[in-house]
Amino acid sequence: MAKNLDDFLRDKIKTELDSLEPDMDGERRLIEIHKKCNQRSGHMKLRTNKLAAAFMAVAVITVLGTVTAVASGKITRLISSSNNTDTYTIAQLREEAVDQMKASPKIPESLSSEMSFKEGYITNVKGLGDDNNQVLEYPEVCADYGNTKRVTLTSHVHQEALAEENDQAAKKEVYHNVTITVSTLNYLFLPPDQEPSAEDKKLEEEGKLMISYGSSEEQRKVFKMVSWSENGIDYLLYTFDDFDLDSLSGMARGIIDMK
Amino acid sequence: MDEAKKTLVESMLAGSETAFDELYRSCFAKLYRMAYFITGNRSDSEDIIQETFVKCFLHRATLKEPERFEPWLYQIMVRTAWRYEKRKKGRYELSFEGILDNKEDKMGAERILEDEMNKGPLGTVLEAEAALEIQSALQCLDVKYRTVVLLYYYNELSTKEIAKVTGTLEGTVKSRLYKARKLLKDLLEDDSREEEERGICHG
Repeated sequence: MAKNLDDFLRDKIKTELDSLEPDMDGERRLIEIHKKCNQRSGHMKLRTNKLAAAFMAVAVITVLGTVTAVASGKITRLISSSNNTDTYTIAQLREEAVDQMKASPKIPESLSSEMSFKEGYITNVKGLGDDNNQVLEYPEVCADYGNTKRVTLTSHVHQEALAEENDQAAKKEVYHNVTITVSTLNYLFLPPDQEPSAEDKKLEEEGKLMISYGSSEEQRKVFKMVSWSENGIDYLLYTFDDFDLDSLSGMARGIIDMK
Repeated sequence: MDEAKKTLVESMLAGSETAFDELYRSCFAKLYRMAYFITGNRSDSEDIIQETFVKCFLHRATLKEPERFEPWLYQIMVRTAWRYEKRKKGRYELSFEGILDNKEDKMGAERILEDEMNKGPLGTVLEAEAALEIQSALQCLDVKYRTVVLLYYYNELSTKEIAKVTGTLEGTVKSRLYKARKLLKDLLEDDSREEEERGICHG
């Protein structure tokens, strides 16, 4: 037998391993894999592109903004992904928006004298239900503005399933018959293996803190956002940088003024 | 790698989630078995597979040659499994969980050998015992030796390919393979000698 040790081992190991059937639910794991990719791609981008990380946060924050929808079992999670790394000029982005959204969202050349259009991209957003089944899918247009300080404008065709009252809203105002909602959210970025403290977990459960895993170190940031809906398109303007909420509201009013 | 799979890999590299899903479905069972061989634990194997595919998608840009997708995936899985084992050692001192570590699996191993009727009753018994010795020896091997045994005998990779997958020198792979083989051979020879002695006494 020793002479045929290699054959024996090969045969034995193959027979044994090939008879082993995974008892895992492969499809459920696949959904988990996509969730993890989503979480971590945000963090990976954070290391190279702070704004891109903010983009990942938007999907989660939108979920927080749909508390009623979550409670009624419609949408429990939104996952954003980009199928390529292409970025567009403003003209290309407008064309892509028409092509993919079948709508023409407002995408200004600049948000203020110091905040010019930098680059744009389109993401695919999937909404998952309680059982992790996909119940929603739509393209979202993202436009980045500014250099050292960044603001991002996202827009997508209005989704009824996400159209619940935003409990996180700090302030509402009506401008030219459009309701603008201004809000903030405290964000905690943690390394993948780090457990949040009991206090942070409690804040998360209360909807006062968003915890995102995968960064290289613990970071706390305040996410500022302004949202509104106009002509069947939902807009969100957001930043992690040092802008006051009035400035953001002013930028939103400027976009609403666009013809 | 066949053309259909290569096309899927290329689509995945371009960012297609659908292609990634298809690749996952076609590969996860084999990867799971490999992870189980290394860790001997089903739950850990599931986690390792999940982590492997997360890394696969996030780091797909590092795969320059689509036809090398499988060795590249093995590389991610092996290194992820090693990290798991290292953490486990840190937590629980040392675990020698290995392939066929529970009673049911061992019984399964014996049943498979019993089915090999053409070897005759004595041959079957001897092989069954030898198999258990091998299983036991594999359990005692260090995780890096176990990995080399896995990649060489199960995946039938060359020592050069194993070196790439494990991130070690080919000489190190050969040395580990030699030592693992020697250990297994010695065990089998000891086993045969004992059987012969028993045969003489009883004869």
